[in-house]
Amino acid sequence: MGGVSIRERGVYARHSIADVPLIWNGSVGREKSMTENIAALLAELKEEEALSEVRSILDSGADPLTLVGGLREGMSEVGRRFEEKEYFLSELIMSAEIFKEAIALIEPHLQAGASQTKGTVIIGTVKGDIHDIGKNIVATLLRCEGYDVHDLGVDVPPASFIDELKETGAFLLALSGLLTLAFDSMKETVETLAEAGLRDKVKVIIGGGPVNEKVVEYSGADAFGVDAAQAVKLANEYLGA
Amino acid sequence: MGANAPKSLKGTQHIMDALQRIETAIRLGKPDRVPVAPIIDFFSARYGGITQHEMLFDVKKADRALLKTLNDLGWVDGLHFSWAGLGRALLTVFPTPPLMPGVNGFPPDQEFQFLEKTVMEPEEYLRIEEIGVGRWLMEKLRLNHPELRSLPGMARTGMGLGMDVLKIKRSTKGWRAKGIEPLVGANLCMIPLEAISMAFRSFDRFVLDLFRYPQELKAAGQALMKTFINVGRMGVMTSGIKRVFLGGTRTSASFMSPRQFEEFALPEWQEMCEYFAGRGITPLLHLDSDWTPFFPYFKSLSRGRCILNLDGTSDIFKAKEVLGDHMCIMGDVPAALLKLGEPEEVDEYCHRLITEIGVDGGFILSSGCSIPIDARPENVKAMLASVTKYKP
Repeated sequence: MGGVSIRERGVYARHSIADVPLIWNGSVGREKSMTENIAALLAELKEEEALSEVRSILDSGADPLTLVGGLREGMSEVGRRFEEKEYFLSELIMSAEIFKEAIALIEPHLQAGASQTKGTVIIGTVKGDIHDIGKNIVATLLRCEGYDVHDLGVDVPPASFIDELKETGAFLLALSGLLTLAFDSMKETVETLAEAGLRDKVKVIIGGGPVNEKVVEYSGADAFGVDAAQAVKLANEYLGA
Repeated sequence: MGANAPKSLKGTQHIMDALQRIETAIRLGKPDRVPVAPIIDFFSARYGGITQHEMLFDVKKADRALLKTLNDLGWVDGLHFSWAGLGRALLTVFPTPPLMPGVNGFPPDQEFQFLEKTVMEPEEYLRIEEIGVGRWLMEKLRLNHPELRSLPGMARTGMGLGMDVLKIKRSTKGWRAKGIEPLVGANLCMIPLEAISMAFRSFDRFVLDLFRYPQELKAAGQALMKTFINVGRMGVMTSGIKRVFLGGTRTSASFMSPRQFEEFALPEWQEMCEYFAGRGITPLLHLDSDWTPFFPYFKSLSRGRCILNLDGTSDIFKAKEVLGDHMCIMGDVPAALLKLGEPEEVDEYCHRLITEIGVDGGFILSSGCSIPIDARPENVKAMLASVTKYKP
């Protein structure tokens, strides 16, 4: 970790696939080492090296979906380190940024429809509140995890969540808020869901500074995420449920 | 007057006044009872029947609303950070003006909210010292403050702020006459890193800068430090209150790792706190989000000189364990409890705080950050009553 100063930045160093210490054994062995290498570079937050490696591998004609797999493995390792309290939110954000930049390089090489999403999530900061830091972090991590995230922004009225839900069939609604007035907006959103006959078709998680179990009970949500990583965990649990 | 109001000493055992109580707690002593000093303005405006706009722009109205609140619900020993009358200042000193109730179409009774936008690029980190802090800060302010782009505009703004300062000073005098000590008044300060994250780079870019431009970020912090300390000094000199509010959230464990805290933030916290403490000014570290893993670092600050003010996210009981013999601890009745809980639950939590955190002194009861605008009045009453109901 540690950056290169602005004045010293130059052309990214290029690594050679031949540097990878595995016996060359045809395409299967090569892809496995590539996956591990990319995962390790991402997990170590080596931004320039990871992106350089991605470019190099794409140039070599390797399967871009395997690259995506390697990046997701790296994110899993980051998640593990976060759980173990080796990494904190800043490392999650940096890893997500590397992931995003790498995906941007890979996407033009993917065939249309090649990448599948795990599921659709709708997220937004509720009506009356414009705070979005936590929401943005959760949205980014969910995308890294493979979800199709529809971010409705801030100050979102209940009707907008409902409309998006009807259009997308999302399985998860994530509501964010930092002010205590957001508790009432969260409650109103959940009630509006029920009135629309959609409450049993979607899980609702809430999050934000003052949110706790009491707010879950008050609002009628299903759970709260104490941090962004837990929000991703909840999404995975509900998807698997 | 409400409960906890100052009583006559005649015929009673010695009862400390609010200032004695607060200063005893700050110095890690055990006062006659635990002092209470919440952030109350947003709530008292609503309870006292005025709008948020009125609270922020009219100190007299804010004071009347607060007096009604205290008379009805209970007295306090101290007023924490005071937002009353700060509307114009808030609109002026941030590079991106916050959403202010009653201004530019924002509803007059809505809580104000900070807007976070990027107003500097990483290339500027080294430029701050090159061109001078004052010039650089003015450049940033002028981006979104057209009134500061001309001398007449600056003069008008300065005069307006000066009038506000006088009104706030008058208010401070009034509360002291009523036996209530303004803890920090409007003496607001923060370490440069917090300001860079909140007001200049915005959060996500700041986080990436920790990895991409570490040396430049540290250099920028150092360049800004003297000016930021001077802001705190000016507040103290103007108000006569020898305590200063140092806000922190972006350098907490909710956002950065211990390694990053040690490398980037701790030196700034140490430098700023020791500067003030060394001059008899008490830094009140108002720490939102989770600081629990970083508690041991605060042992490096001078003992009995600083206040650790937590918002309900950090583990205040762990704070007592790690820092109880080193810093006055303040907090932390959670916002959610004050809004959604029952008075018995608030009473029970305050009881626990008073008897466990305050057991040997060095504790000031407070709200976890602000009492919510929509807190239940009976819950606020329970919190304020607890300090006379329970002795540690």
